[in-house]
Amino acid sequence: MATMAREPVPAMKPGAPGDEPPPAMFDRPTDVTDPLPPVRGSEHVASLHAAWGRMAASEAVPETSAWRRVGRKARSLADRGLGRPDREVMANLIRAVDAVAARCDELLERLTSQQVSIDDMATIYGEELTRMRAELARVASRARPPADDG
Amino acid sequence: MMDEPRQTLICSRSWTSADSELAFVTRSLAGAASRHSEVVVVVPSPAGSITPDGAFDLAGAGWSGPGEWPAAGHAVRPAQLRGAPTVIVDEADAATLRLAKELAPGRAVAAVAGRPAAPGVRPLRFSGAPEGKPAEVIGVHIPVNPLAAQHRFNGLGFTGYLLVLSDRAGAPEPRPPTEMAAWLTARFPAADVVVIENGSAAVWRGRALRGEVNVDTRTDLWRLLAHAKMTIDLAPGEIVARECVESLRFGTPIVVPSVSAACPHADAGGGMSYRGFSDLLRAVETLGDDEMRAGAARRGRIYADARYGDPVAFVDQVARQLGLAPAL
Repeated sequence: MATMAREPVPAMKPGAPGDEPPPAMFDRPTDVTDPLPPVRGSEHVASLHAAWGRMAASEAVPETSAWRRVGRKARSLADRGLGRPDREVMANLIRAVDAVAARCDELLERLTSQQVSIDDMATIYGEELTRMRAELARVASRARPPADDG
Repeated sequence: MMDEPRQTLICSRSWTSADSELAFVTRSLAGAASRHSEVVVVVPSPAGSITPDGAFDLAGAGWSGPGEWPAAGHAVRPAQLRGAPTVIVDEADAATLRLAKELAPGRAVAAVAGRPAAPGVRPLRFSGAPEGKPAEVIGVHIPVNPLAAQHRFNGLGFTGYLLVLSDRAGAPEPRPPTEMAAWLTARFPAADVVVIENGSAAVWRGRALRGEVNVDTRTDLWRLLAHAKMTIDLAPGEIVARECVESLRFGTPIVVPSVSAACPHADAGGGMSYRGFSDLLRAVETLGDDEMRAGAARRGRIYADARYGDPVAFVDQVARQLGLAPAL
């Protein structure tokens, strides 16, 4: 199997005085990454809402029997006594989670927009600056007096 | 009584260099000369030694160390060498010319490389058309496998890149890239710039290194050449710019330094040449136009196939240039 056989080139000569230094390279690409899914629609937040919905639905059924009403009240008092979360606290917690999720999604949108802007700036400005440097170098070389070989 | 077959003596220090264009051209010449004469290849090795090497046996005339010819007056004429052979040296340096004179005194010497040529040495030409005399150029046969164009290089998931053959020696780190590659990726941020260096291909896009893969074989290089948008050879081979010819034979136009053995290939319509980075960027922008590139690809392929793709014509040219007897 033949080797790649590319002729080893001689060592690169150092640039002449006044040579343009090459453009700097980026340590990381400026590409826009794939967008993250919104938090509001995520599995965990959706499960929380679904569980709350089931709880609310079961307690919405009116108790026709007085004994049942007394039983429900007793269970609520017992839960409070044992430190279990109150329905109102849970409701507030779910509202807070919703608010945080909404804020996360808003921040995500702004960050994505910023990534797009940074990538556009790096690409467009980088290309235009390089083009300008090349044109300036061309103009400068034309303006330079020819080398005296005599 | 039948005449003895003619002989061609080839003195070569580069013969065993696997990665040398000089060795490639010298070996090709030996192959072509063997169609018209008996070829004796002499390399730096102990006097009287014979080393089989494929189609040729390498004869030793003595040496003063690995890769070095024997000292003046100490060369030993190989037993198989007789009469007045045609003499070819790979490089017209003082030591090689002295050896040739000792082994074949009074014979004219043709040289593959080593310009400006010494007095009495005839430089062989493999590129360009000196003063409108294309007949003086030997179109060394540069084979390619057309099947390499059927499938892209496995290490890359894309085609249509700017292929850059680096001008850096040794084993430099891929980051930062060689200067011209830096200019290219900065000027064309949407383009994939694939830099071949030290047996690997580094992919740049938008001034950032995206990855690196090995390039192990000549077929790998052909695949890369065949599926590039254009080949930018920053340091073409000094004798015939082999990779540039291969690129043209695959229909990929070239961009090359204006002072190089590759410039005649570009001037023949197969691409463009440049003097500095601003010229390079302008050339790549020009060839970025589909119509311009298609025209250069078509002209370049016709030129390269006609000049460097015909092994029969190559053998005939060698015979004519070196004055070897034609085959009966």
